[in-house]
Amino acid sequence: MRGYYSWDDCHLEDSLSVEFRYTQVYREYTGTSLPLRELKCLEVALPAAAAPIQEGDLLVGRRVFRPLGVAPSYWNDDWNGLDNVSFYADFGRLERVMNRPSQTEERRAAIAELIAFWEKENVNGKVRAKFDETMRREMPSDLWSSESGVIFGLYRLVFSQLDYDKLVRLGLPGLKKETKTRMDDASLSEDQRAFLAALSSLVDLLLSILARYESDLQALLRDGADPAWLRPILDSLSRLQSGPPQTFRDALQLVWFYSAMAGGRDFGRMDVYLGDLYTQGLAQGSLSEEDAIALLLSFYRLMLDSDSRDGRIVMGGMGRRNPENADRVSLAIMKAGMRFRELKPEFSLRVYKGLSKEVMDLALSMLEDGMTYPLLFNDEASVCAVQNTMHVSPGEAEQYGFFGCGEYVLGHRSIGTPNDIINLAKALEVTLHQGTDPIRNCPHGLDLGAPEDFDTFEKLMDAYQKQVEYFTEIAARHQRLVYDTVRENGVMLMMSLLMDDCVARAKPLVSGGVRYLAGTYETYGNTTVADSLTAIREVVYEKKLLSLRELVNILDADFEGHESLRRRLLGCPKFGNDDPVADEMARRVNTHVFQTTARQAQVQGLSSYLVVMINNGANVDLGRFTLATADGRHAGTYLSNGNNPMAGMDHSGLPAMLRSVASTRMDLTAGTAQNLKLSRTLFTKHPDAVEDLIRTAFDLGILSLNISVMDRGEMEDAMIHPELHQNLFVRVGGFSARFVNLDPGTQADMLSRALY
Amino acid sequence: MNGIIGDIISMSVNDGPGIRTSVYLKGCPLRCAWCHNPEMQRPHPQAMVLPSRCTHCGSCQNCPSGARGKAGVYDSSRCTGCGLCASVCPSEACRVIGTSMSAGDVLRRVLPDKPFFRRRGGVTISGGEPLFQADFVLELAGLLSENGIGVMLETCGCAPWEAIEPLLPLIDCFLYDWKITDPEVHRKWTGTDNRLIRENLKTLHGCGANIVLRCPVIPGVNDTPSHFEGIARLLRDLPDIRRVDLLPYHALGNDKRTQLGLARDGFHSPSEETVLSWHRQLSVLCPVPVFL
Repeated sequence: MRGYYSWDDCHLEDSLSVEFRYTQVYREYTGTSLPLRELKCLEVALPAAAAPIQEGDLLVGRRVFRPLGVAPSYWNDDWNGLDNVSFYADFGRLERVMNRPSQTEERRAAIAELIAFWEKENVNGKVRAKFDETMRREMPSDLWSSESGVIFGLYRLVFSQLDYDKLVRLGLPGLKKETKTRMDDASLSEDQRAFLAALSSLVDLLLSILARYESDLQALLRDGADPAWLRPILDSLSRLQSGPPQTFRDALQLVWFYSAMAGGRDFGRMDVYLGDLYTQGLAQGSLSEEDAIALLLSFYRLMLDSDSRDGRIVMGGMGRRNPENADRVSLAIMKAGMRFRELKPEFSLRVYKGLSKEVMDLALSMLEDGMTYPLLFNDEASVCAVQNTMHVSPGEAEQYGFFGCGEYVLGHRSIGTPNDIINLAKALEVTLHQGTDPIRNCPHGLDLGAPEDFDTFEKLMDAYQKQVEYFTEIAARHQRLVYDTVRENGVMLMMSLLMDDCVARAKPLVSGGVRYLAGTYETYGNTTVADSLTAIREVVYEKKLLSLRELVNILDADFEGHESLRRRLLGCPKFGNDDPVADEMARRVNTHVFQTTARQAQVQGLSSYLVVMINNGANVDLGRFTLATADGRHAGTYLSNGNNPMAGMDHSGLPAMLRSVASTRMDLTAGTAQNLKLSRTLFTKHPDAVEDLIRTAFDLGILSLNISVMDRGEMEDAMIHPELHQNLFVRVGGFSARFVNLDPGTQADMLSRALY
Repeated sequence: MNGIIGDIISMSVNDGPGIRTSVYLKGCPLRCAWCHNPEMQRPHPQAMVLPSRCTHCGSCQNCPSGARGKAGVYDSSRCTGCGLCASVCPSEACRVIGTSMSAGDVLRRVLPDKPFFRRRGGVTISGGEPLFQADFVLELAGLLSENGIGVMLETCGCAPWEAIEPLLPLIDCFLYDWKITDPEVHRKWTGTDNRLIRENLKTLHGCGANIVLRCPVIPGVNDTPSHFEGIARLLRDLPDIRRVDLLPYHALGNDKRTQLGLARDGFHSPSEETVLSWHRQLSVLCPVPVFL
């Protein structure tokens, strides 16, 4: 993982003068109104976060994150890897500055005092301070990547998609006018008026930062900088201070600037909000595709330099007001991406009948190029799923967006970033150990009986499900607690300004402002659990090869001395092979957790509360703290992730794998990630087959496809880890073989041949 | 009736257009020296042993037909395909190729793949030589057609015309092998001459069948101007054949030969340059497109 705070802290001076000023303002305005306090803090924090232009930048707004601030999420990557919500404090960086040899004792003591203050005041800490006894017992730590447990809390509002279309249509002056007009309403309460006044002042603050950039650039010009580089930027900054964007460049500049200041990471339907000005520029001859690509490349560079996570750009899909213009700019967006060749931005394409062939073809070329982007979304099925799970109209569902690893939100209408992680395999583990975490050797979860008590499979299943319900309820309470604590401490001005219906209701984001206050959490090891339960049912309850107690003991010993049993377990039906027994179990395990979760929405007063089954490295980290499982997986090995089969367990071909995953009720989740590894040859020689494959996967109801194209490394890895590559077929001249069934010499031969 | 099925592979894209499921039938009348599917030659099930996985543990020494001896030695000529070795092998080095299945069984295996076929794809029946089990192919092709699945047949053409004729209304396209022009050279390298194959091809063409000519080119066997000219001549005689697939030799059959306890075939893979040169020569000579 590349940390985006991995730069040195050179922009932090020994005195930490900004941080002290910020803290002083925070103290001074505590006890006034929350909007005012937050505004005053931003007035210190944002100008200090706006870094100077660098050579080659075509847009201003380089963002530095300081160790204190207000953000939808600050990722404390170099200290503990955790997200911090609202008023955050990065103690690792503060301590680094405090411990510099150049520090005076006096300053060191002052920084220590600063740290002590924020240890009490940071919102993450405040959430934890409000934990009840159960939460303290079950969530003793947030360190999900380095400690053992079923559940871990996350703290974030980020990944919500702001209304950049509105920003581009109105510009900053237009947003200010809107808030001013709203304040004319005589029926507003004092609190509402204070909130709107803060929003209005926030726009002034942003305009003042643009003005500062303008004067900085003029100074650079006077110092001899290239006018051909700076003049267009200066003209744009001037226009943006007096009205809405007039050009493609203006729009891109404004969106980047706002996003950087907000600490946002997702860019929503970029094709929609850039499409009209792009097309207008082309028609007027004031912009060429090359000009647009150069600007987009600068945009991507700023994104990459400021943050290593996300950067989702959405294109395509139903519900666009300008589909032709949007498709046109999509081509430039993707072409710039192909030149940029980095893991960001995360391009995503909503594939639907109305999408232009040119856009789809370019998306496939991008995938063929080995970029693994764009992530393809099945638009029709996604709209239906969002409509059903989030209880919204078809029109609103059409405005779904997604972030991170493919989780749905309603673009600028809902927030619902996952705020908890649940390791389902660990939930089964503690169930089999009478409510004890055998790794930490302490009580964890419910004691629902000893293995001997589960004399039928259904009793075991029932206990596992109760355990999951218990942890789900805790997760939902934690989600609510995060929102409540954020509400009690701030108003999230930068988000509130561009989220429906905060201005219309004159209410802050999580205080009744956002139209849909939703929630989600991430589950891992779903397939590991399903395959384990299938195996347990077969070997313990049907074939009676051993008792459940004996099996648990063998799992605790990581199969040592019981390799034949492990092989027997590996031979039990596995999800991903279109096997009705395995798939039915997966459906049962998944549908249970999906429905259990959805029921918590009403309990916690959320518009929806849903599971996401996503793709990231958490399945590896959580697996490190999960003992051996009855699917034959060794202790410490990664768990299954997303809605995918356990790696290497799908050995019946791609159609069978896709049929299995399609049998999961994905329409009950807020997003499921589906990986698909295809060969480069398939793309280059059989583009028709690729198209048929994607269409069929979508016809089956699969919500999204994350396609990666195999290369030399894939086959090299298959030679070292054949168990992970059961589905790697090699094809030469009408011959097909499972790569892993070939002898090493032939594999090496294939490897060299495939490169030609 | 049942057929002996060597393998069924979904998501096959090299045996015809679109996404296809290939059904490999065991048994072949030819013994091509370069055969890349040697495990499909014999009509009955047989074991294959992956040497890299065999730990010489001796678990399979009790082979009832004596095919498995000490120290991992495997005499495939004695194998009856009983599967005992595969069932006892602790390292999964042994597996049995060949399963008895009815046409209905195959259909049930193939049907779930049907959504992937869409307009272009379907089933390709291959082998071995599928017409070695001609009655089964007829029943299977009929059943697939009844279920709206397009069928292609990959064949060496070495079968009585009576086995081919009833398939005409059921097969969308014949992927027809043309290996060696000269009948005696054909006999030398495949065990039989090509007169019947040539006759069947002409008759098939005369019936208006859709045919793709598939030409394996093996270094030192048929990479000759006379054979290339022979292919071109054949295409001029049979003008409704619209396409030639050039299949350059590859050494993958050797891997399987090792697993069958057979000696390597002795051929060497051609260089990319050589393959391109073959392609250029054929493209100049042939009146139809040549695909690589």
